[in-house]
Amino acid sequence: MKKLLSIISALTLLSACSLDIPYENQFSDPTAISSPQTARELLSSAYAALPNPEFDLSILADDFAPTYWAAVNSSMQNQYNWQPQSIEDLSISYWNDHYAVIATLNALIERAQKIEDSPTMRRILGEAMALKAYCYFQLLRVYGAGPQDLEADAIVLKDELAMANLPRSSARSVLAEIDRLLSRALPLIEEEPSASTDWMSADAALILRSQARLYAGEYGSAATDALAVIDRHGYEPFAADAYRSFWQGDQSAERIFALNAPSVAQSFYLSLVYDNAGGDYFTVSPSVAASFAADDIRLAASVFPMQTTSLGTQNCLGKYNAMRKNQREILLINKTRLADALFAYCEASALAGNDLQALTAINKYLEKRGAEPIDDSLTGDNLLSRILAEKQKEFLGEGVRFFDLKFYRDSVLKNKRMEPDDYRWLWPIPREEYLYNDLMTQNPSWTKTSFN
Amino acid sequence: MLTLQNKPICLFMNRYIELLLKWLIFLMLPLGALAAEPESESHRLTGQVTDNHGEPLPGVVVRIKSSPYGTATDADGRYELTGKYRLGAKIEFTCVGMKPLTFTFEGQRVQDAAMETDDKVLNELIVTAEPNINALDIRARSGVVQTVDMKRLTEKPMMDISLALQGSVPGLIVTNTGALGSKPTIRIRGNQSLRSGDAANEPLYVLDGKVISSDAFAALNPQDIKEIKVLKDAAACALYGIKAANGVIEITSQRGSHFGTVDITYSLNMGVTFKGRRGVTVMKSAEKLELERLMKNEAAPGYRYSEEYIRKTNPYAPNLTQLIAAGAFKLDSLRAINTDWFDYLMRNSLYQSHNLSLRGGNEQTSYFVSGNISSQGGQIKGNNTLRGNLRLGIDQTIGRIGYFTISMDGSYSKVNTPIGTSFTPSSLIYNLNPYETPDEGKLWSYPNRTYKDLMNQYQAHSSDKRGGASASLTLRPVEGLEIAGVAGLDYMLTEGQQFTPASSYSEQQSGFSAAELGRLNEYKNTLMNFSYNVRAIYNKMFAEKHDVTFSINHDYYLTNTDNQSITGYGVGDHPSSALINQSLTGSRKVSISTLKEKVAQLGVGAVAGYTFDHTYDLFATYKLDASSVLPSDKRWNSAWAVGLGWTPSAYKFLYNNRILSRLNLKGSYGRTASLAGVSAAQTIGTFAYTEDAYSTQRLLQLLALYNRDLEPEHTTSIDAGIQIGLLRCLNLDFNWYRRQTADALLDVPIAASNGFSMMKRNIGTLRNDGIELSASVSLNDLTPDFRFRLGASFSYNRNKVVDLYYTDKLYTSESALIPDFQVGQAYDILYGLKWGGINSVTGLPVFIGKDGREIEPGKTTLTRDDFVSLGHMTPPYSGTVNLSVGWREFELDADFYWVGGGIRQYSYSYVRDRDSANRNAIAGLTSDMWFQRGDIDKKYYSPFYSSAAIEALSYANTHNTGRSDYLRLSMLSFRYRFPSKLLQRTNGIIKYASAAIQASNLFTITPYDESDPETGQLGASIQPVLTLNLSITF
Repeated sequence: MKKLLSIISALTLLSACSLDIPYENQFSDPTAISSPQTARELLSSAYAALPNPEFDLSILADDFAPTYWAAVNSSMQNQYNWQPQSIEDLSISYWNDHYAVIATLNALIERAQKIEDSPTMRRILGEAMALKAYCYFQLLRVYGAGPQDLEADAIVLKDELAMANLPRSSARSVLAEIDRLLSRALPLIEEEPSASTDWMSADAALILRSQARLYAGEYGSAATDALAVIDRHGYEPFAADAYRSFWQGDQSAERIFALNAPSVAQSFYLSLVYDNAGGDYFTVSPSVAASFAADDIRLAASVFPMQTTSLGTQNCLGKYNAMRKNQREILLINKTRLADALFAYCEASALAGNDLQALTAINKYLEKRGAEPIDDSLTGDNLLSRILAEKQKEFLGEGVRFFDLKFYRDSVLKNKRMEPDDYRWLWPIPREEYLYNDLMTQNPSWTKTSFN
Repeated sequence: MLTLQNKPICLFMNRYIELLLKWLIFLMLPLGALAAEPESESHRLTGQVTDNHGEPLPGVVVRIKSSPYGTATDADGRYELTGKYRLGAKIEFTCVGMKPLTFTFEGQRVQDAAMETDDKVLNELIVTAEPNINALDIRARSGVVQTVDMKRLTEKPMMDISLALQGSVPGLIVTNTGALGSKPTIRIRGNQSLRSGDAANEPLYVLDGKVISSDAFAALNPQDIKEIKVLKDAAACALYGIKAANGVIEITSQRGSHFGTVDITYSLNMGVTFKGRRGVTVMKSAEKLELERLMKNEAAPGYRYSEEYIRKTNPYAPNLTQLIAAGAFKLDSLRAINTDWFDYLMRNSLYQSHNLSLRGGNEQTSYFVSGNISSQGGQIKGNNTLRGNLRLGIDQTIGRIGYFTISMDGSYSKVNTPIGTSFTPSSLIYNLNPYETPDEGKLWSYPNRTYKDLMNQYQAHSSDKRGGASASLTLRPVEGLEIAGVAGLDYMLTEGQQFTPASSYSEQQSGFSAAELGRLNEYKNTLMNFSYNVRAIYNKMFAEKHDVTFSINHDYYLTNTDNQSITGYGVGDHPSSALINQSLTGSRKVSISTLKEKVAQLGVGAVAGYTFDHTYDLFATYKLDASSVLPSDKRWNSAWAVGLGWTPSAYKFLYNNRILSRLNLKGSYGRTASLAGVSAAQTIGTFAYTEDAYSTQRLLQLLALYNRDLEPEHTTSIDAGIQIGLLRCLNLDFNWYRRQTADALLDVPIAASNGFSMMKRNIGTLRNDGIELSASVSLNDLTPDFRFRLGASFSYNRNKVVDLYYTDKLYTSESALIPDFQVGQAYDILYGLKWGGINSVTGLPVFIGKDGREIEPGKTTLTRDDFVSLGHMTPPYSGTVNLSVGWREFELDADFYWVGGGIRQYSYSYVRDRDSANRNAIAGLTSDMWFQRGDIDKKYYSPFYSSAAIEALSYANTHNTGRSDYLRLSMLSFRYRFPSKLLQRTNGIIKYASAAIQASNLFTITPYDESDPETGQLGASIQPVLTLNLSITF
């Protein structure tokens, strides 16, 4: 009997404490994200998942001209022509991918607050908030109406990682949230600076806040933010050396923030290439190519003359495309660079009516780039459109132009390809969202189907 | 368990008592002869002894009182008593645990007997070991516990025991899923989750009290199994807690005997396996070439060498006539070749199984040892399985207070599969043309390849090595109290390899350099199950009427998965992982994947049972289980059940009634929670590292959008049953059940702004209800030599979505036209369009939509209302017919299995369009297909359209679906038992011997025109096996 009891009690003890079994290759709350290291690793998965829509946005803009290959490729052709189905398809991944990153960031932000406070942790939290603001801004620029109507429904603001069907917030509230996130993030990031451009830095956050404030019409504070970055770096990084190494993928003062995810970068801009010998689907728009001065260092970086087998010499896009054609491995995808600060400052100044400040800054920059300075007699909209023309040359094929075309579509940038009142400037909310979210509205003129 | 069922005891005793008696008779014969009265003459009396359920009782001693004549019943409960005894003598039937019966001999030639359980006697008798301490008798009084007829199961020459269970118990639905070696699906009373797949719907397997995986169950040798019980309702299953939400299959291994003798049994099955059913008949060369000509595809010789094509391509050739003649000659030579690819690719193969067992022991210690080796060849070349098993079972009594048992077993099984990555050999039967040969030339059906390029492109094999041990200890320290514990470990190692040689066509065409060719994947998966269960039972009879039982238990279950897999390239033509080229980068880089998972469950439970005067039964059980996959606040979930039983036939006035021999009614109600298939990532924030990196950091990724509100599925079951025994030969068993699963779990799409597209949610309530009916009639007293038993069973299951919480229709994909789940509808309905014939002008089908509108594919937009319900994808009806006929030493057993009420879409993969005209097609297509304007009454639409291009053509319709009903002869056994007189000549060396012809799945009759109605695959039907069996016991 004693023996029996001892066997039973031994068996009971054996099992009593053994239900908290950790997975060997999975980590669950509450201990999963409990150190700065695991928090950083989770944040890294958010960085690595950031979408890279630069190529698709460039096709929609006026940076490119289609070659013969694009004409015979119906999907390229459809995208170039803003065919609604093509935009709907682009919209799915644009919306889903940004919100996937936001979900990861929310997961991190919720957990980071429970980890013991330290400068490192605060920096991680700051980066997470800045990256979330970045995603919101990217979404706002695509799904919002633009500065023309800041009260219209724009995007969904997700404050926590939980299944919820939320309504769209107005562009104004989105911008306020972006401002709030960045203003909270900045001191946290600044407290522990890092030389690496792989992570959201204070400069990147400032540039982003400047762009968001510009969008909100707060030109004064937008100029202040941008100027803070320019003042920190000066104009020297705009000169030839830094620029050349920037487009060779080497370290450069031009680079503020770039994704360092080689497995993603491998295929970046690969869709532009039709064939290694035959050329690309698109060349640089002839009018833009012709607008560069001969000594402009941006020309050599942006335009890559290529001898093709069947289409003759073509002005292919340089930059990432040139790196690939020159057999240089693409490792970094640039997201924010110093020129962003310069143009944010110039645009904000010009829009605020401070033409002289804008002119001085842009001409100092153009001089470093080896380009012709802007005639200092230009004012108002004329000046602004010259600044934007220079911006197109600077960011040629980097997806920036699409946002400018949309932003200034009924003011200074009269687009040849699409009427300002065309409904397609606002992308459609994807089916994957509105079918399951009763509170979701659709952008004007786009279809909103339902299950039968 | 000390109070045990009577049958097993009798089983053990039968041969020994018989032997003992023979000795006694032999010794007493001279005395008997002296005592014999002058009026005695020689008589021969036969009969069958059953229990009060009509089940045969072996080992019953039958003797003539006050005479030397006596014998014992055999395994089927039969006896034959020859001797000189007078009229009016008393015939006495006695068996351990049974109330003795006495009849008067009045010259009858047949005397059957139905014996009653004697509970009073039982408690004082020999202890028979019962390794599974959960196998409490009381649960069966009000719950549904059904037993598989192991005799019939072992008569089926089939290697896969899980597949052999098909048709064994009504409501246990076993479905074959493909070629030899593929795992069948096993469900008890339907799917009770909206989630498909085994993880959420598989029953729990318990071998000798320890939990084993379904794969481990499939590796068991049927000959080593004494008993399989199927637990269906809440009252029966609740002892196992939430693990048992999908029912339980309880397996008891063979045990030793208590009679001091040793039995060695050798049995052998050798035979052939057949090609199986030829699905559709494909074309002969002449028709095929004509079809190609009509389809006008120059990639096929029928058109390329036709006069029409030659004239079109060479209009001005001076030698046109010669070219045409050469073409005609080529066609003639092709027409002369007629390869039957079914015949060529499918084969008859061999089946063999050797089984050797040793059984012995005495009253203290008993043992059972067995070994088995079996192999079966598949229908397709290269497909075969091999299995070896070893088993040891030892039972030991511990003084007068209890016993312990040990069971150990191990097995090795191997499956070879030739199924490749790009095509299956069975699909080749329908693709290769009759004018092509395996020996020479490039194929038209697979351009630029020869037959050799198609074969030996891929090989895969996997082997399971399994080992398990369990031990149980049962003690009775005081009267009425029993304390028992069982612990068991089951370990399974699955190793496998998939290999694509460098010389294969796909590798040669892959464009990689020679150093990068040859793909090899090797994996090692281990699965360890550990479980233990401790139980205390108190049983007491008060005032000879009140039988009270209380029990508490505690159990623990741990499963540990550890998988590793490596995939590499550059191995060339040798499947060795040592040859993997580790210098490769990019997409041919060597990759490693691992999975480690440990899940534990802990439970406590209590059971109470009460029986009044053998007439009224009350049963209640409560079990509380905790699982480690859940966060601590959701960890504990309960399963409880109550049951009632009423046995009017136990009333005095009905006792031993000749017409109504048994009447029992029972009902149960229970609730259980189920978390099958749920993992931590779905309930709590869970992260894992990916293989990728960002900057200098690894990536820690959030695996899923977890649902903090996730609840287990709650299943409520109601069951009612009635058992009737009439005239001692007719037995009826009827059950009705309703199982309702609330909070059913499903991965459902959610708004993309949540960052994830799917989330596991509790989405609704579904219901399964059905009936199960079985009936059997036994006729044994017509003539002394003739025995007959006919049994039949029927089961019906229907399911319905009762409620959906967030919507009334649920779609699991954005592009779906028809909801996957809809309130008020069954969830396995196949929806489709109504066929309206083929438009004789366009050659495209016309469908009849809502309100009779005509739908022209490609022109009319389809809506939900255009679709009609075509039927159930899972057949709701199934049933069996079992027949046993015996005459003297001959015995014929046959089992039929049928399913009905299901529908299945044809694959139509043998119907060609213009683009695929270079592959063979179904015979008759040339006349059944629309080719030109004016063709009317055709079966197949124009070959000049591809179904992929036109949405409406991809849906099921009333024309491209067929009833998937079938009737199968699942077992046939014709046995001859060598008479004992003959065996006596071996000087007692051979105790029993029999020879039989046994077959499994000999034929399947079905209205389904295409392929196999069960698997839906062309060329993967269940394999017919025909064997010769020889069984000898020494």
